[in-house]
Amino acid sequence: MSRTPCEHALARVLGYLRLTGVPLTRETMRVALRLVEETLAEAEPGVDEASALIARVMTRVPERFALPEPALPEAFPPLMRGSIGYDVYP
Amino acid sequence: MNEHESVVLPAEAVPAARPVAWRGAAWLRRTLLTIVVLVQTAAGSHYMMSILPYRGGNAVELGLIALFAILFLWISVGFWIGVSGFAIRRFGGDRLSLMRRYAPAELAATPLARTALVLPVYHEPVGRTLAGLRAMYRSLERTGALAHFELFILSDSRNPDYWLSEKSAWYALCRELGGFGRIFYRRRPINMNYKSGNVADFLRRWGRRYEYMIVLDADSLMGGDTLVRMVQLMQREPQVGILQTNPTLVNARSLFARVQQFSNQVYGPLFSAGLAAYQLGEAAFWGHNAIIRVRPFMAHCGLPKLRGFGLFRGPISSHDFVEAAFIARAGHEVWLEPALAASHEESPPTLVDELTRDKRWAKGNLQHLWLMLFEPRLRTAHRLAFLNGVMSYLASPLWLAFLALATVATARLVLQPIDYFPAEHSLFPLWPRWNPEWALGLAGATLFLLFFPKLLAIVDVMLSGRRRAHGGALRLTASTLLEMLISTLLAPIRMLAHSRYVIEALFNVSLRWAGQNRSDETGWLDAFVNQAPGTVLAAAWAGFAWWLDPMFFYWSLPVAIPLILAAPTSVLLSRVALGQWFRRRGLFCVPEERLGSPLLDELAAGEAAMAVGSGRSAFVEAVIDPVLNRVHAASARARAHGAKRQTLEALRARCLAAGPVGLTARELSLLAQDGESLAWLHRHAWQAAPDSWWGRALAARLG
Repeated sequence: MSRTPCEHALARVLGYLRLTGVPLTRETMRVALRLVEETLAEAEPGVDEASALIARVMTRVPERFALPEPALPEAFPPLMRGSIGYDVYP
Repeated sequence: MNEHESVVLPAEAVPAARPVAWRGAAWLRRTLLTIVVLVQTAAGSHYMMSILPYRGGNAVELGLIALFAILFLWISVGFWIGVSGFAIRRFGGDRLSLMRRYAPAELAATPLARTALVLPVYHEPVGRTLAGLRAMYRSLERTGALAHFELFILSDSRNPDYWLSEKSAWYALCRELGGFGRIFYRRRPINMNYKSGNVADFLRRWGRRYEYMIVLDADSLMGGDTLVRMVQLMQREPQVGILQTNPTLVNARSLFARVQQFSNQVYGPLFSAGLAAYQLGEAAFWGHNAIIRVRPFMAHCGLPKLRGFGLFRGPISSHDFVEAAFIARAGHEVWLEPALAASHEESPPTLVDELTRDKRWAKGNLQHLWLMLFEPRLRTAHRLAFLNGVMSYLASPLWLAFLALATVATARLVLQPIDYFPAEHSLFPLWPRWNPEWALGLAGATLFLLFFPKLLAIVDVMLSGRRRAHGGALRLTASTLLEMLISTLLAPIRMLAHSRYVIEALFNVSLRWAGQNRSDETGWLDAFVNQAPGTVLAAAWAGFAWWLDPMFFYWSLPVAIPLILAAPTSVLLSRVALGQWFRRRGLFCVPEERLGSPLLDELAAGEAAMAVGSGRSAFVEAVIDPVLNRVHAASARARAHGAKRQTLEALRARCLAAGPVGLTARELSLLAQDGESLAWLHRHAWQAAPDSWWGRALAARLG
């Protein structure tokens, strides 16, 4: 049986939160459900319901959840430039 | 002063080195070796001349004697190095070696200095490569000296799936080990001058930050204690520019790799001890598992472009020997220290992989001819090291030429009327005489030179208490005999392949026989197609030999049979199951297999951890995964402008609509290098409809 647009949207939100590292607590799931419900209420009839709903829901995720900032590693230390010598002998 | 600067120790903290006069000893040892080898070669060549029907009385026989002399000299050097290594090991090691100069406690008390571990990579298996780095990091951590080391992954990878995987794995490694600010990742988008260019780029950026760098290969594995000991030796011996360890082969699985691993671990100690004793402070650099004093290396080891012709024009492709020669020319010493244990690498898994690598090495070593002949003021020992490298490959076409001339000589003897006066103006006839029993004597002497050091190696294993680590006396002996059989089967295959590589390199052409099999194991069809020219040639030669003279046919068999059997040999040796079958029976065993190794256990654990999610596309992960997307975007280029921005916008749109499958590797690289594009794709992919490409990718990823 294919999923409804709401199921798609909810799965997308919860999946995003899980990959971001947000613990999926009861409270988090309630907020996610509320987000989908509110967005569904604003949906305009006649448009591609699933894609419009998912797009709007996912746009609002950063506003509704405190997404953790990943620790970004220092790719390399400060430059301490040197030069390569090419010895020339007669 | 930052946290890293706090670990740099003042130079006066290191006690001054006690000068050791090794040059006199080097001269004496090398002179003795030269005399012994020349006398042996002269005797062998004289004997060879007496075997030939006309005793060197025509051009063909003179050619045979000349080739024999060169090849006999070459194997004599190897023989005496092995014998010397055995003697040195039995007498407790070389008193002139660096390690013997210090009591363990004295060396352990030596202060360290800031050292970079550099790991150049180019399209390597990411899981294995970074698992190796992880094992070294852990091992260093256990020594308590980690604060003195920084680790660099220096990527030259061009395929975005490779370099995105590398960067993702680097981030995971930093997170797991708490290695932020200690493990670094740098990718060079324009990879000029191969590995040496990669390292030179590192030095140009951070060279002044480090006193030493330890250069690794993608399959290198070194113990923390060894890494620390290397730095301490360099601290004690300020005249040493490069200190090379003798890496042993580990982690082999296929039969081919296990045989190489066994021979490396059983025979290797003799040859490395002997080699180190003759080279002393003028050793070679093998490109990895070595520590380098950064300042003189930067000052003197820039590699010039060759200015000759053909092969001898352009960038130097095999850099290590040249760098050793250059740093020595500038007055620094280069040492090989076999006593530094826990330094490992891996064998190619199959014959095909080994020959593919040899093709590269053959070209690189032959290029050194130019430097050997024309580079001014190099030390003689390093010119000879170049010659040694050249001969490693040139020996093969010389053997081939020897076989060809032997065939011509036999054909002339059989097909042409006898020439009783081969020398001009001679009053006395010469009766051509063929003495097969004498020839057998010479062949026996040659085999003795080749195999006797291997027998000495078994004695060395027995006497040094390593017998059980190789499966016990019986299995060790059986393994050695089997190894001799396999190396006899492989020698003609290698000879033919190396001859082809030498011809290709010297004449700057590519002789295509068949496509190379690059899978883990060699397939039957690939093997038959790949080995067909050698098999046909050998069968035709053996048939011709039979037609000429049955006796000559029997002489041809040790070369012809291995070539005829080349395909099955190649296939069977590549089999992992066969390698493991021998392992279960205690054959070709090495200490790490019998006694275990914490370093290898750590490597296996790292590989298992990194295998999670390794089947996914690195580009798709970089787009979908919120954390990885931030990591990749943060280290990508700043916002693009103008035409480039328009190109990127068009690519993004295409990628969003149809996924990355329709984009070329270059287009994907462009997107993955642009932080704004990565963030844009991430945002839009998560908003994509369920039935779109990205919707389906998300569904698959989220399960």
